[in-house]
Amino acid sequence: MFIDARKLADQTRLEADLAIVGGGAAGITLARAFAGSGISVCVVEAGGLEPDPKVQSLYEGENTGIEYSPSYTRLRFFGGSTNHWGGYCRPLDAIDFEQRDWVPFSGWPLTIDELIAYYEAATKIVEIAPGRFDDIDYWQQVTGEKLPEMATGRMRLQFVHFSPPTHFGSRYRDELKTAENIRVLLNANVTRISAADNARGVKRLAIRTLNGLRHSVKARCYVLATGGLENARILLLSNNVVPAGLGNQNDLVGRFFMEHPHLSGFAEMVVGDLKRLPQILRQRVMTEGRYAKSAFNPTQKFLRRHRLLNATFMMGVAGEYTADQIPDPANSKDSDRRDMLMAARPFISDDAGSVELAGSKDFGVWLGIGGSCEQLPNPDSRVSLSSQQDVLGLPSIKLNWRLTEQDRLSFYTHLHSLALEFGALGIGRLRVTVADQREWPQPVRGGSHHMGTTRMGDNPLQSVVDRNCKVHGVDNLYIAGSSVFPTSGVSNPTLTIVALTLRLADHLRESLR
Amino acid sequence: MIPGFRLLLRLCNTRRCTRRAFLLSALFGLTAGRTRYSLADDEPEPCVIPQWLQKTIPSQKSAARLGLAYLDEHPQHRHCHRLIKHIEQTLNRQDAAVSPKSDASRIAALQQLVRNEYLHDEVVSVTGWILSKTEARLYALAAMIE
Repeated sequence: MFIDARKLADQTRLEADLAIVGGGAAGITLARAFAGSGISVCVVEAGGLEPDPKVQSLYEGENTGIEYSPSYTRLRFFGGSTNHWGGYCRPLDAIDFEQRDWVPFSGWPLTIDELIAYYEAATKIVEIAPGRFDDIDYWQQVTGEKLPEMATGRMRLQFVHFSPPTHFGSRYRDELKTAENIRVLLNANVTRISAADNARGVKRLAIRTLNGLRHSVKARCYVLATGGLENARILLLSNNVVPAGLGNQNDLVGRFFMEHPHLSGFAEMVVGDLKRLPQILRQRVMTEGRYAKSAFNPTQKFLRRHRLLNATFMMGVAGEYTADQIPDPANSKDSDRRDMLMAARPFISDDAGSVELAGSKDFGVWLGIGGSCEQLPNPDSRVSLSSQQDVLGLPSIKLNWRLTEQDRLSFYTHLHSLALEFGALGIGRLRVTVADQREWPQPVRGGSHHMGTTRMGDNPLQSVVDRNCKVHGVDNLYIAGSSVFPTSGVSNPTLTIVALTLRLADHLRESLR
Repeated sequence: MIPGFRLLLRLCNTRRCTRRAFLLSALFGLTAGRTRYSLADDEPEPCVIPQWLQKTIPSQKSAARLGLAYLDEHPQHRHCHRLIKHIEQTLNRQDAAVSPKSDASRIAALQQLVRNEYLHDEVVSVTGWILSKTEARLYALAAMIE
């Protein structure tokens, strides 16, 4: 059942076994997991079923670090940010879960093995083909093309599956609407999680609507699932008992904000013969009704040996060159690519040796490269409360996204590895177009992936939630979503968010029994 | 004066020009690349690029543009003879290049050498392009021939 909070009588009190704050990937997945279970669920969604600028404006905030928009990178209506996601799906790598001595604050309290079954279930929810994330043989069979065996030991081929992308709000709306034990409260802004006097538990959720109504939701158990920025903000706003904010007794809520730093136009590649670059390496390939594409990622061995952070690169054909084209003298990049293709032809094409270009119509392509990297968990990269207020009179978010030299060095090292790999394989030549100035080139941007602000760990002095995603010291408050990631890895987070949420659902089923 | 004839004169002027030497020089002049100018002041004599190596420079102009950029960064390599010697020595150190007889086998060995240099991170950056050291030196040679 869907309920518009703006149309309820003022001061309405709703009760449920489980209250879920947020109707995005995590919130909807969790609610669905309880559909028909006999456990009453109330999903509290700040937006409606469609986007509304006035509602969206509640996501605006102050930015004091790297240029970043807290508003444009997330959506405040049913379905949350799945309403604009790209659909990239890959699990985290095993190494991402490990405590790495060269990555301060790294280490999850669980291994990838504990998530494998949940990842498998998650693939169905995000509607991708059965996960073949590392199965080179499978992709060779599907595409009929032999994939290159990486030569340097630095890089490996992995595979990304693409969701249609599934917009959780529209895709699962009817399911939630018809589930008898589920109510979805729309246009309901949670302004505070009211803690019990001893701060050991949550009493209720305080809710306000933009038309001035105040309601509350009381439940046995509460799950905060509003994304990596808002989860922290709501905890910080919930300071009726703990002045620093609920769960923030150790000043950790909002810290360790991580993104996946992306650069654009940082590198390009020329390839002399597309036969040497199988299709799946340069464009999406359909399998079982869904798209997939390969990514170039560093090997775990290389990461360990050189004490680096993770990264990923993908590429796509951006232009072709033929012998009969007349180069544009005004386009120096174009001329440079042609020069490189022609000069390196003996090394990147099968018609090497005494090459007669006149007889060759096509002599190469150039490819754009996209890439992003893992960000070091950094306590100074953080979300806090601004002195500015939103339309409800509550402090807005203040974001201070910071990157480090360690992040940058990893990115550049892996980019260099990619160049070596393509040279060693005789496929092409890579050009780094962003000079290494020993600082992050601008503009660096994120992938709208908000992670780390309520990090997971066994030690309450170093984390906000425990291995079951329960807020340390608060008996009935849990957090779902990428804010619990202690490290970011480099995979897009949605698949892991869904997998972790399914794991949380299993835990809550036991708790609520 | 046509460049080829000027080259022959220069070539002959650098040593005692016997009839045999002149004929040999003329023969090389017809079959091998010729030096437009020696980039190094102390280059003892004009440079002749072996024919097989020339075959790996399908577009002299394109390679030369990269080569000039390389030489700007590595002025110590403005020695055509030394560069050729360096390339040949590097090639000979590689097992695959043991006593190559034909041009084709030499070229194959050079291609393997270039790949191996990428494999072992023996590369340089030339205007952002990540190039094997030998490959970059080959382009530098291209910058030194007509």
